Amino acid sequence: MKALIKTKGIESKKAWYGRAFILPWVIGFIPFFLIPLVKSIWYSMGNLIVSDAGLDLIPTGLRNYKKLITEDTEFIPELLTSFQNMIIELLLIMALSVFLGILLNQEFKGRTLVRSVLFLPVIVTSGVVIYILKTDVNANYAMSGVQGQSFIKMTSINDILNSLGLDYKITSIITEAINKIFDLTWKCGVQVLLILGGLQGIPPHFYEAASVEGASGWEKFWKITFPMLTPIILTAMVYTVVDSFTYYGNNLMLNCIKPAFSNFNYSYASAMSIVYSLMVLLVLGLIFVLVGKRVVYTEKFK
Amino acid sequence: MSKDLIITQQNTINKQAAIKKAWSIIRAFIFIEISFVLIYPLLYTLSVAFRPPAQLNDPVVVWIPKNLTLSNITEVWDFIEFPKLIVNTITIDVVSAILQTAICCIIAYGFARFRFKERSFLFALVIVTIVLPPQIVSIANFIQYKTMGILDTPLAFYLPAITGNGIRSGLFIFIYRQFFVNMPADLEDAAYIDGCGPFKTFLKIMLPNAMGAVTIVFLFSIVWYWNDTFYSGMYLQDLQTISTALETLKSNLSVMLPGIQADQFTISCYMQAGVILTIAPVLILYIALQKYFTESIVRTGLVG
Repeated sequence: MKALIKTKGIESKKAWYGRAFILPWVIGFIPFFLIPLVKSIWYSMGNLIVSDAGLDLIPTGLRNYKKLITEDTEFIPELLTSFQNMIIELLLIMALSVFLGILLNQEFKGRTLVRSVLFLPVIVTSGVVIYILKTDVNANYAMSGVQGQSFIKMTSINDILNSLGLDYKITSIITEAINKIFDLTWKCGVQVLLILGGLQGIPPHFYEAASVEGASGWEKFWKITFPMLTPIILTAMVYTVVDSFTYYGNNLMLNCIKPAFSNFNYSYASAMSIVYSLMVLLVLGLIFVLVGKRVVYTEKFK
Repeated sequence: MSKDLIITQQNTINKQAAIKKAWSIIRAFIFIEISFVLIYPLLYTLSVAFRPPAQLNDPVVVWIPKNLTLSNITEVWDFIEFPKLIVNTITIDVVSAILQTAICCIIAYGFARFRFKERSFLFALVIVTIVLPPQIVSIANFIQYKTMGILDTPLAFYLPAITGNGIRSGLFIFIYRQFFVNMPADLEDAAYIDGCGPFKTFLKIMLPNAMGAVTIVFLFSIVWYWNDTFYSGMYLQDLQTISTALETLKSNLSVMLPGIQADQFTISCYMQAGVILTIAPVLILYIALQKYFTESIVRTGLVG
């Protein structure tokens, strides 16, 4: 009984230490995130006029949202298209990252070099640089005769797949995916790194035991590698979604701030970014429901 | 009988060796292909930045210019006042990145290794800060910074960074937390039994074991601060960093260059020279950290 009380005391003391560790975050969260967030929601329900004299908000209720959904002919369809593209991209990026991660985890000559090269895009191009490179490479495509943007263009594959009796919609998704390989390779540097780190963390004796039991490589992948990777796959998925939604060249993201800068319509811009954010939250919620339950943790610490 | 067995065994071994060989060729092919895709734009940048602008239009010159020139680089160097920009970028971006790397580690440790009632709720809020697009708070933040009087000072970057609310701080907390959660509890228990307090345990036991994660976060953090134009363009209108300078380079060049020089090809060459000046420092840092970076992943593993 006495021991029990003592452990309880230590537990509550430890809890306070935990709170001390996260205190800096709470101090920053309130002024730099929570208050601005509440203000943004407030701004979105009115008409904000910014002048030298200060801020003036004329409340209009939910009119901005109403306008966004019923009158704006571009926003909602664009949101749905970007949602659809994101799901496809997410699956392709994850598959590509797991594949590349496993390849990079094998022993071969020049492994360090390949690893460094794979991570290059993250270093070089997470911003304005990729934008310049892309637009410039495209502009010079015709001039120099060097092929840019997409290296593998397979238009003929469409015909082949169509002749096999596949629906046009499916074949176009497949060719899109192939044409996107360039973009996708550029986007999966971080994910490959995460997967690689995860692979390094799988204890080798798991594989030894499986070999003794006579498991094939395929079985080892599905029974050991994949389950052990699930936590990192979840992390990588969250990263991919967030990255694609906040990507520098993301049209929708630019459209969200357009009203604020072109017409100084801060309120409408706020309403747009709130709807956009709800969308992102919905996608992540879906991922956590669908994938989160299947995640395998080796050491339970919940 | 036994001879037959030896032959079949020999055959299987040969077959396995053949498969292994074929596989290594396929693998090499895949990596060469992917490396090419990734390096291609950089080669393009290098090729254009060091060639005389006139040769951009020369049908004979595709990749290798007839003669190399440094004039694009030096012209852009003077045009954007590179030394001043680098000082600005280091005092603002690099310092913020260091602050962020340190503080996120501490915060994540609190989320990973201690149990308290409001932990899950607060961590959910961290996730919210990751997933919400930055514009949702940026306009309100801009107005707030203005009233606080920290607009156009490095403080507009330091304060969020040191409280774990800087650029993608939430993501770093997430990465660190995943890392700490999977560390064996024995390490910590041993330290507690030896009489270390939580802070000492963190500094002496957990932090040295987390250096792999620290390197990774530090590199990400510096890259994202360095390449940021969204926050810098908004909160630091008078203080230019190298990325915001690059963003406006094209329009500035077309306005400011004397008439004869302001043709399409010169601007293209100057733009690529600007790209080189922007990425060179980060690239050098990456190459310098590279060995330690990969090693730390191999040794400790960034376990999720």
